[in-house]
Amino acid sequence: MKRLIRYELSKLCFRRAVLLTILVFSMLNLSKIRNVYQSYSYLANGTGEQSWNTVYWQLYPQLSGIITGDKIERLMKRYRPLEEATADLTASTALDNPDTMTGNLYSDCNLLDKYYVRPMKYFYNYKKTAAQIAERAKSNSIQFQSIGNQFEGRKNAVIYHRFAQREIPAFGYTEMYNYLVNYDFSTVLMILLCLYAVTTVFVREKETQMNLLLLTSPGGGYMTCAAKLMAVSVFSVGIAIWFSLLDFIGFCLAFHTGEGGELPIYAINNFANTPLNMTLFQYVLLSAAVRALGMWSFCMGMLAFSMKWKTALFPFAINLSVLLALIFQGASSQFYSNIWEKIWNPYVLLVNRTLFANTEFINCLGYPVLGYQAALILSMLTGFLLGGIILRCYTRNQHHVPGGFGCEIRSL
Amino acid sequence: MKYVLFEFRKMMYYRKGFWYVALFLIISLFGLIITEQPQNLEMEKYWDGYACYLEQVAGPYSSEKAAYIENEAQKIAEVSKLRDSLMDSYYDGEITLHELEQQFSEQEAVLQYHKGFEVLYDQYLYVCEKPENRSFLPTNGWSGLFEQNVFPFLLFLTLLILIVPVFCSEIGNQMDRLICTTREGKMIILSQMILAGGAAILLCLLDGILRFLFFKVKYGLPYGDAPLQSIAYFGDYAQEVSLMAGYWKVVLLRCVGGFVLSVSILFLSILVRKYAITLLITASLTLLPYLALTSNQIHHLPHPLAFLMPVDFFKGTAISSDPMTGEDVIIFQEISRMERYVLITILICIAIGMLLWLQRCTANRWNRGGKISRFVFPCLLLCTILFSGCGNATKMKNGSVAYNTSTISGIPGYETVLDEQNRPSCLENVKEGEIIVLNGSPFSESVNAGTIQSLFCQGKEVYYLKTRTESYIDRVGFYNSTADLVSITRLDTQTLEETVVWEQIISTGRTILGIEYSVPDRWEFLTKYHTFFLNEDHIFFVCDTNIRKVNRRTNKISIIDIPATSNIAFDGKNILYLNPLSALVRYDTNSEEETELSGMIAEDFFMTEESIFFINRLDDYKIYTCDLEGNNLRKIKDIPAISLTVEGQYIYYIDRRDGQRYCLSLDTQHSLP
Repeated sequence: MKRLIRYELSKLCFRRAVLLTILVFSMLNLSKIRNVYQSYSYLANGTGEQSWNTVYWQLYPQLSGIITGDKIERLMKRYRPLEEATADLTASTALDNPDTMTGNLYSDCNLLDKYYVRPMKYFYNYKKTAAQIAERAKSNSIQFQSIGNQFEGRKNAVIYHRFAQREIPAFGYTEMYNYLVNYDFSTVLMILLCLYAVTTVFVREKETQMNLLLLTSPGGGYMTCAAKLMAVSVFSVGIAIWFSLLDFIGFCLAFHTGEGGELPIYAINNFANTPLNMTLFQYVLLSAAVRALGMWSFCMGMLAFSMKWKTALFPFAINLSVLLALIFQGASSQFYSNIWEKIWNPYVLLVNRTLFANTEFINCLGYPVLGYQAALILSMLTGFLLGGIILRCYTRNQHHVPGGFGCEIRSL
Repeated sequence: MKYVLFEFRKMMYYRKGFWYVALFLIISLFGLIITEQPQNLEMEKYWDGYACYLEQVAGPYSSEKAAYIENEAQKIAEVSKLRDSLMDSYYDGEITLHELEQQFSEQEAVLQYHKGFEVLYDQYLYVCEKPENRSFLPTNGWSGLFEQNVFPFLLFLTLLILIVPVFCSEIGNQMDRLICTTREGKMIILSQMILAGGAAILLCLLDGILRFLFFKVKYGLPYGDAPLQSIAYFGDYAQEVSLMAGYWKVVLLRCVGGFVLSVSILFLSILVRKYAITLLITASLTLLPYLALTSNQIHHLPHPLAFLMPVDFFKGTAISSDPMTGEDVIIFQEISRMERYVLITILICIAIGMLLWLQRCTANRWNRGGKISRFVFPCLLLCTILFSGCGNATKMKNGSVAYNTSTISGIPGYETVLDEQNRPSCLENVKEGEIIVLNGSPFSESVNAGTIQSLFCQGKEVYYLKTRTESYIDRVGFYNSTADLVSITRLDTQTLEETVVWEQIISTGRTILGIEYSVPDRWEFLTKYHTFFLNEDHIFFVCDTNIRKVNRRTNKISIIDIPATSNIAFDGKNILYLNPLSALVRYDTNSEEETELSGMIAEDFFMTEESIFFINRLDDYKIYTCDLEGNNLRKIKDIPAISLTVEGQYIYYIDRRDGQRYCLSLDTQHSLP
């Protein structure tokens, strides 16, 4: 069986076309990441002495690390005069002002405000915000339990436990991680690549009529199918992990830093209400694992859809349509409160910030289950169910019939 | 010719191409029928009035037309003011009913279509911005025809299914080599290429014609020779082109895109000789630029994708200023005519190059007819699931409704407490001190939590409307990710459970995967409504000049002609309001019929669950009451009032004589300041 799996895996991914596609898509991914840096970050304005990039990293060692009163004082000492000077928009707009860091007063003010003052304020105030959330959850829990609403009571208790004692003690650079966790282009590349590779798994056998020949072999029925499923699983997980790794390396290279990994995940503004208590780097690892599960689930679906066809045209077209429909549905429901609209769609595992950014629950027999837990379970169940259907529907043969050689081929 | 016919039969009959094309057209048509809504709802609603005025000013701008419109605006304003004073005179007994009716009939000609005039006036303001190339015309049909610039996925999918098998099926069963050994094999290959190109062009043409016919039947599409800039989306386009010419140019450009795409598919088929990789490369070459690049970048490249979404070739330059750096960011750079021709030329040259290469690959062989094995496939295309904006439309629980817009809604026994920004924050039981917090979620204090804007109560349920903004890129330009979301949540004051019943994104840029999630302008009213109320089927948003009725299941919007000039009451089914003649009117939201409650001319009114209290205009502004049908009129107090509200057993009114606010007890009839 191990040999079968190895063989199916090499058939799947060690083809020139697939390897070339992986290479090309990896290059595309890296260039898109570079484009993200150039487009989104204000620190991508070069390495000149007065560029935002240079000035920011010059100030960084003085202000990063544990937030102390001294650092806040030092920052505000720089910022307040600039804020006052530019408040009524009558300050000098000269671009070569020798008394400024970037050459311009407004530019100095904007840089400090966007990259230091506002983030530091958010980091500093987060402890209070989280404490308020925990306190409110605690009082809600007591209130709901007193009126007999067990689900809401338990739900608020979970929120309390997750949000109590949260704080962001240190200041750091979060821009790279912010754009990394919001980066989706590699998801499209993964989907197209897996669509191509996986759709042909069964189709190629029918194109070359190996499917009939396989049935005459002892391992040609159930075992081959199981090996194909294992190979597709390994391939899909491998591709997801490869692109997640590439994303991380690409972002570190493009942004010229890996700073910020030790900060808690809620240091990113949009994750302020996340149920997770881990660092950004740990979240990146978790995200990669969840993406792998989502990709696996998708691949099982694509395999199931492609089983019956003799050419790749219709499975590809149908899978592409279904994928895009799921993507549109997932993308459109990501901002909405209806958690059920999100969790059934494996797409949310690929773009998993939808699940992890907010603390949402579903009611499972009166017990609160976090949205992401439900999505993971549903995806796994869907994947296993589809795998089971594929195994069940795959054409089988029968060997080792008592009394002699016998080969009864049952086809659907 | 016979080879072309033979290949045509193969493509359309044996490979069921005809059915795919028919399915594509049917799905496109049904999609249009189901989802198309007029972009300017007021224009549709007040069409009669608008058309009446448009007859006078239709066409290009001129100073005479401007003078006419300004005169009409002034006339309408004067007549409206005169009407109000005539009504006052009549109610004060200074003129008779006959004189009033006579005056009204004279003014009717002016005011009959004033709503339609307002629509025309908005259009006049738009045309005035650039009068040299904007005209007056009904825009709904043309706006819908030049649809939003989304990727035509259904067209792309149909092209894939039609064109990919042309060579791939031959290659798959190795007929291609056999064909190339025959004497006239070259002719067969040539006819396949002609057919593939022709099929792509025909499909794009059919799609264009279908859309044109649909909008022609629905809206008429008049004034086709008016400038394209008359439509707001093309307002800044610098070149001269008419609407009709513009649309057919769009169709032509799409045909070019379809043709080049089909040639690319044929080229890739021969190059890679496999179904799957051909499909992958085609999908990648089309979808990846769509997701990775901006519309501005796509339309400056010689790429078939740009021509499959050709509307932006007629879009004007859009520039925005970055507040951080002070730089101007070009959101979209207009494509000049010369540049468009250059792009088309490059694309055609690439296509010709590919065709020549294909010819060379398949040259010098004999022709031999062969029986192509028939592929029989059950085929159903899955439609794209349209994103839904509806929340759960749960049944309204039992509980009568008596909602009035003039007061902040509350549940019996509870007062609505406002925060420092005058927004509802909680309900307080004044006797027992119990507080019900609105938006009781623990996350209501966190960032991006949103703010409660308005409230509606029904029985023991409270509905509050909240707006919030989500974003992760805060840089100005085409790559912003902001989404403003409006949601209505139901709070059950017994169980304190909150459920979101309706949500809608009202504005956003690129969100996920780079897919532009553009929200139609028709939701813009959610940024400037006053208050809302709802029932099981609809949500009603009270705006300045009308009420927008939104179907909770389908999100279809319609307009109810009720302005927010005074109190509007709602009992769950009927809307009560004062018309411009100060008569109390009941509007049935199901049958959409209006009934005037006879004898009830009011300065102001307030509806409770059992009765209506109103300031009787016919009795010198005294406070009266009647039942909900307008019967059993009874004077409450012989004091003239300006306005009134009712809370429990107390009427709060402002005395007309001294302008002070008083409280009148219904039990004791005593007034207290």
